[in-house]
Amino acid sequence: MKPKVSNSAGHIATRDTQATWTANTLSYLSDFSTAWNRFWFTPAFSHTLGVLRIATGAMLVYMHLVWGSDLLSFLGPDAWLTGEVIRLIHQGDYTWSYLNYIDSPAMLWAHHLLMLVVALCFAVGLGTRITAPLAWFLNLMYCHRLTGHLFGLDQVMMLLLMYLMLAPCGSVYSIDAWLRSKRKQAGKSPSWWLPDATPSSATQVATRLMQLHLCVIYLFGGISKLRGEMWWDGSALWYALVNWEYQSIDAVWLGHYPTLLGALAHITIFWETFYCATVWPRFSRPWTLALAVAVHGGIAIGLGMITFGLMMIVVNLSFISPITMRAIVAKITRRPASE
Amino acid sequence: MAKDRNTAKTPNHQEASVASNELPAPVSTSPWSSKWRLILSIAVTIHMVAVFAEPFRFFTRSSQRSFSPDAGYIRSWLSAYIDFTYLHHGYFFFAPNPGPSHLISAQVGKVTPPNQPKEIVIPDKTVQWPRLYYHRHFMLSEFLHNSFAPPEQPAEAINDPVIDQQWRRDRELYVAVKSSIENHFRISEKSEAVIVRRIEHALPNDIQVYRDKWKLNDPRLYIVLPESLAEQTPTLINPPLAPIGSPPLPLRNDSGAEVVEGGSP
Repeated sequence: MKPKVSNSAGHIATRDTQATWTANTLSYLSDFSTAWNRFWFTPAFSHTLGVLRIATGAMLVYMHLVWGSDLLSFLGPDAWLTGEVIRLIHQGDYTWSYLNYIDSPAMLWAHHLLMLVVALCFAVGLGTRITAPLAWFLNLMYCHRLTGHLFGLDQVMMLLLMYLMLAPCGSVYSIDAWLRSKRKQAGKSPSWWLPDATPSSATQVATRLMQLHLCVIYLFGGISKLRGEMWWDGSALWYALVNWEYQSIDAVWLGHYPTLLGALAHITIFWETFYCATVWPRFSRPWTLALAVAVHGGIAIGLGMITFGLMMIVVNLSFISPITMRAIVAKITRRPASE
Repeated sequence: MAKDRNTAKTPNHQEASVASNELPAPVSTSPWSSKWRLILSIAVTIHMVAVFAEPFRFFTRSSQRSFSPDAGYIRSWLSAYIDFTYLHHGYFFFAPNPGPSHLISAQVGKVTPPNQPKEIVIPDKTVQWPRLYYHRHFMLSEFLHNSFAPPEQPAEAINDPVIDQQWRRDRELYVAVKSSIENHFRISEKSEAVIVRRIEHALPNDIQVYRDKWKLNDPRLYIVLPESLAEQTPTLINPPLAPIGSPPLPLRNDSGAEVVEGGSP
């Protein structure tokens, strides 16, 4: 029911309401645009991503040394799962790898050697403008070929490689940085091949994508557990501890403390589900990240997934600001932070 | 109000104030043009939808229908990108409940006497090292189990061509995966015949462990999973992973026919 007002007064009131609504909407959109740009594109230093590059590169080298320890059993013509079987599994989807078509042991070894060299260069930060995208692509081809042997480690490695290649992750803590400083000392002009260590929007975009992707992983990891009864009755950790195939440390004695195991299960489920909310505020972030280290450290030590646990901790470091990371590295290496 | 927000300290401003004596202060605005930022904004939005789409679809699965049509629509729209960039994961770690492990047991050996077949188990902590190498094999045994499709056509498939097609495809994949694993054993062990079985290692409860003193690898926790619906319930194997010298199971040649000891391969 519209109130009865005179025509002119009503017209003015309506016009004022429209003007206010328009102004509020424009103000909201302006604020949204500012916040969006600030979130995604504020230039940032690359020190955090530099540390992540070293950890990711080192793990990549290790992963491929392990593949290489029995290469033909994984990739060869008589592999556990042959290229033909993998093609059949992925018939109709877009999971494609040229490795599905290579049977020659010589070719496979040559390719694997290339992968190791690229991973090593990426880890030490040599030619990162090229080795970062190449490391992502080559490892992607391995992932598509090695269906049936993969687990969470491969997912988090592909996540890190995908986003690190978008940023100048080799601009610090790298051979590229050392070469750049030598070039500068020699009075030569900067080269695109040696990324600059100044704040960059690309670093911010890569960091944000990494952080949001991690939030999605934890959100679904958490809510998927909400479907299970064992995470509610507190017995889930018992059944994780008594899994002989996963177990690396005998912690079955913890079963004598069901209250403790129950509490750990409850903390895990709440932490994981709400990670996407609690990791952003400055006050709750240290607690959220500390719990991440505890949970993944426990998985690494107790459930035999050292590689996976370690890399989940590494990707959580993306929430450490570059300046803080730089100070930590300086403290650890006992070198001035400006270097 | 908007002006206050715009001039508020950004995280980078705060960082810069901490380290202003060591590094150049970062600017709060991007050097990229608004057009370039718009293009990138669209790109990161699409990418994040792709990151979200697969676990969302995976999560909407139920016993009533395959998955939500909305989730399926989003996933199919971006499937090329999701598949190729390796984003097709559900992120169900130890969920919804921690479950039993699945192993592969293979009997390999010469079919001519006096040779005895031997049992190889995958994964095996005692021989597979380092841990990552072991875990690659553990994932293979879980993959074989997850690929299983019985040889019998499901009752629903008789009147439903979609279910029938899906069953045929699943069965074809399972046979291919299992045959590939058998072939690998045959080559790597120089074996004339191979039998691959799927083993389930159940998880003991606290009563079994504390009161009844079962070990985590107690033989009673291992069962051989049936390869068809015609086979009745899973059978207990005792000892769990038949050691060398135990009564051998019938061996098959390449064509799948049973090989009588002493007979021609």
